[in-house]
Amino acid sequence: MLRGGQFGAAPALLGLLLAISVATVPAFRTLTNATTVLAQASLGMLIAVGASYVLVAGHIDLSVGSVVALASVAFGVTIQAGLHPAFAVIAALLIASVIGSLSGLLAIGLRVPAFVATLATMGIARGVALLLSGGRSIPIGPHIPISSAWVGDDSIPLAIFVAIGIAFAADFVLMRTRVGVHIRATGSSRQSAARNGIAVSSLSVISFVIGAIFSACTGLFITLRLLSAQPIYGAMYELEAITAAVIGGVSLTGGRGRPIGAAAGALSVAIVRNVLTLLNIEYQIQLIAIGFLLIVGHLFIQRQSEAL
Amino acid sequence: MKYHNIPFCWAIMAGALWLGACQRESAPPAPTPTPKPQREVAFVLKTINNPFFVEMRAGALAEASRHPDIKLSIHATATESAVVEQVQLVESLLGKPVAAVCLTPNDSTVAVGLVAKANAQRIPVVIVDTRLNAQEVARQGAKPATFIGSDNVTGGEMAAKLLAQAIKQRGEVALLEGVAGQETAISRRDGFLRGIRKFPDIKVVAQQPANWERDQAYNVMRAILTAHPRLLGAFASNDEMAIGAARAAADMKRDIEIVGFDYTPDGAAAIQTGDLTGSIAQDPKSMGALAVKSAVAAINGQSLPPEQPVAVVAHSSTN
Repeated sequence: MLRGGQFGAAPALLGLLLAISVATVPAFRTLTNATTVLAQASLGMLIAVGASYVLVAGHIDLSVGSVVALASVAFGVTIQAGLHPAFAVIAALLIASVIGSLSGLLAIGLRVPAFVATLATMGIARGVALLLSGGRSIPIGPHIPISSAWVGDDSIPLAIFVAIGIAFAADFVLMRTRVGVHIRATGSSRQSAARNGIAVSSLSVISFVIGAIFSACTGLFITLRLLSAQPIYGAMYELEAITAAVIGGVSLTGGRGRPIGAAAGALSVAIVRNVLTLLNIEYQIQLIAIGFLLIVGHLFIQRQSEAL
Repeated sequence: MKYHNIPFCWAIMAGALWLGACQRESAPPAPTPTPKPQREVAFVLKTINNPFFVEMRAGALAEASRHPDIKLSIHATATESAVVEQVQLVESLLGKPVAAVCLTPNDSTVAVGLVAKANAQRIPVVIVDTRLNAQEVARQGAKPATFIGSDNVTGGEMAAKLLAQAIKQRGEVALLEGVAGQETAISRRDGFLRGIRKFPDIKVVAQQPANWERDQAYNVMRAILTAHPRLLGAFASNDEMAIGAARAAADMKRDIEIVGFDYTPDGAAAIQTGDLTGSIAQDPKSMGALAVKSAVAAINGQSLPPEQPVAVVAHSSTN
């Protein structure tokens, strides 16, 4: 059963935002705009869903944006070397898994706080991305035929359905499968989870790897969409991911929240950005608005926790 | 119904409303009867934390106030490297749709896709400051309304004149270039070489790239100064490199005249202290104004030249 309360501020916020926007911003009501918003939100959804795994497991991942860039560059370099795109996708996912494992092993094996461990991998991943690419963008257009599904504007980008599908699948895994239940238990209380025979260490590492793979998927989405692999992609995405997750009811203290909530949070942020742009609100104000949104999101979770 | 279900239902209802509204809009094929009093020109700046773009914004707003039928909106991203964010921003504007876009591309390749997309919607795009990647433009068949950028060739020539006057029109000089192959680097270099040819007693004895960077220019200039003990002056293709070169000269106790480009705050300060001889300034205010003017012309169906260079200004300790 879907209960509104599991998704933090996202449902109320989404409802309010949509109602106000539909009623007062004519440009918002067009099919083109709906497509634009959803396509933009699909990127945010993927990273937020990835972040929700790490957060629910009771950790934090600051390397999100760097892994986006690294996966993009790994994809670009492999394609440029003349290999089949399938290999390029594998290379991107593989290198992201390596970074995710490294974060996990540092945080769990060496007991470096996740904040510090992923601050380190954030630097490492960005550095490797810059190194591999020589600091330049890699055009992949000549290697992949332009697909209107990704860049065109008449059709509805495939990315939307892929992202929504992935969000639901990720939600199912976390809420319904054994691995998911164990990850949540680990995040709720490491000690009691361990006492009950749950492999808390491996599950924590796995959550970092899952998070990194989601970041890699985001990097691939961006790269295919813009037909350019760049080491500068993903700046500040870690904050974006955490913002979306918190708005969507994912608690920073672990154990609470759902990937679908995080995805809804990402959609909220995308709608706010879009509406403010349509209303010609300058960038400075947009930043302030998102800041307030985060506070509202957090207060929502806090109030619900106290009510329990 | 539990309390928790209420917001969730809200969301679903509002979502349905959104989609319902969308369908209504898309059902009749396009003829919008409501006449639009003002047409919107959207100006997308790279950032708003760089004085260069703050000036450009001011120029654009000033020009827009002279066109009562035009509404100018200003947009920006957090940093000059926010490539994805800029794409999303422009897509939102195209979906609105605005009547025209002035765009300072954060990435000269990726922006080509945006121009192509705008072309399909018949929305003119004026490219400002950063030239689009020509290869990609040809590949995608994109057609920007016009390009507005600094006249770097003339700027290079002015730098040559400034330097020649400072060294009394004779002697050996060096040239520090930007990133090899980059359009701006090539234009400034070619302009300088053309300008310096007018002074037959001046000889360019060294010519090397230092990639726009202060520390690289320092190292390159040290090597050049060692190799050419009679060097009198140098042109560095931006102020960062000029300052690096000036440091190298100071560390090696050599007194040479150095002219930079961009007239950045650091560059202006270095001219004040005498570390630099002069610098060539771009004119972002005029670029912003010309961009809006061109956008208005494009909306009215006037054809524009493919490139509109904006004049640059020489600054030195004497003026």
